[in-house]
Amino acid sequence: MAGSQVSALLERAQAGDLRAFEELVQPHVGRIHSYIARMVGDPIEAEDLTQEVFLRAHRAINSFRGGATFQTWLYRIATNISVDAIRRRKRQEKRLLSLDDPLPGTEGTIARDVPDPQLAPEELVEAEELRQEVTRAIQELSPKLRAVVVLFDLEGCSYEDIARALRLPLGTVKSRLFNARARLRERLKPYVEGYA
Amino acid sequence: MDVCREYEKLMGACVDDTATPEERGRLDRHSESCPRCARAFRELKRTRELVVSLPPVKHSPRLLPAVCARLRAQRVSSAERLWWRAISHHMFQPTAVAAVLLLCIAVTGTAIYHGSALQPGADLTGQVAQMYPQPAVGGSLPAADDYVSYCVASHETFDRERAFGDPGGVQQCAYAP
Repeated sequence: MAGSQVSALLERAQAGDLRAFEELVQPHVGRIHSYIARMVGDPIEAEDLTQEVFLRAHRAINSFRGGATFQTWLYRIATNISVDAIRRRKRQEKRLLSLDDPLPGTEGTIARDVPDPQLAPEELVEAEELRQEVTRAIQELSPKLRAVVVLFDLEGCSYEDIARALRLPLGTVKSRLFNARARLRERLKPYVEGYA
Repeated sequence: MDVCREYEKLMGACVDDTATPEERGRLDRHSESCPRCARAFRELKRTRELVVSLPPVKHSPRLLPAVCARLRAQRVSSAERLWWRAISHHMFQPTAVAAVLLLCIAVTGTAIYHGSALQPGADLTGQVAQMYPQPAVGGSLPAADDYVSYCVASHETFDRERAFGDPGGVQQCAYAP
């Protein structure tokens, strides 16, 4: 969506046009859901939280001044909602679900990814195990470190975007990213050790 | 971590692919003489590859419609909330209470007034005949006299001269006072 189109939609949304708001958020729904799913480790819960992000964004649309991009602003809301959800869950019983479990839908389940036809069955199993291991390793990071890794590596955000979304100094973003990688390296030692 | 402190930031930038070619060259030169940093860099790079290779998380096709539905529901409920807030806020203001009472009195009074016959222009022939039962001498019964009706309705003093033009001309009016 072009910048001028976003501005026009934003102006209409701020004037109370719900259709304009829906059009504005439509391109971001998938990315926000993906980010939250990585943060909370549960795609189903992430769907509810994604809805919450857009409800909150709609309530606060008049406070968005355009200093950050609209997407960065949504990531900020999504981060707050995810961290709240993680805290809530910690208080309740710990429930770990793999991101690679099939996603139940109204018409059966939705496969998370397409198997690579280049891999042999045993390699597929190994690749699947590795993905689950990496997913678990990300989940085991603290929410602060997890947010920067997910935003940078999986959502493709720049250091600057992350700094704005998380309201952190640029240097803090870089150091958190380095610390997160160091933790992941330790956690995934069997898979990365001696890698040339 | 097991890397040289002064190369930590540089290594981070190189792993993230945000380092300039010069910075990358500096790290490469250092790595040639520092196996620990060389190993750490390779492993960090591999760690990032593993993270980046994770498949995207797909969402249900019903997510966007669900978001829109909840947005619409939120708008309705917030409009209701605003209405109730306005009502409850004004309900407890003394001036608002007085205004509502006055409005009630005015509405009730108007309804009673309009419901009764005491209004200008109404047909008061019967009432006038009752109040002034003296029949006119040889006069015919006119339709309700507007002036008489007005005087009855507004409780004004009846002025014969104004009504009939002639103080003695009672024979012109069926019901002279």
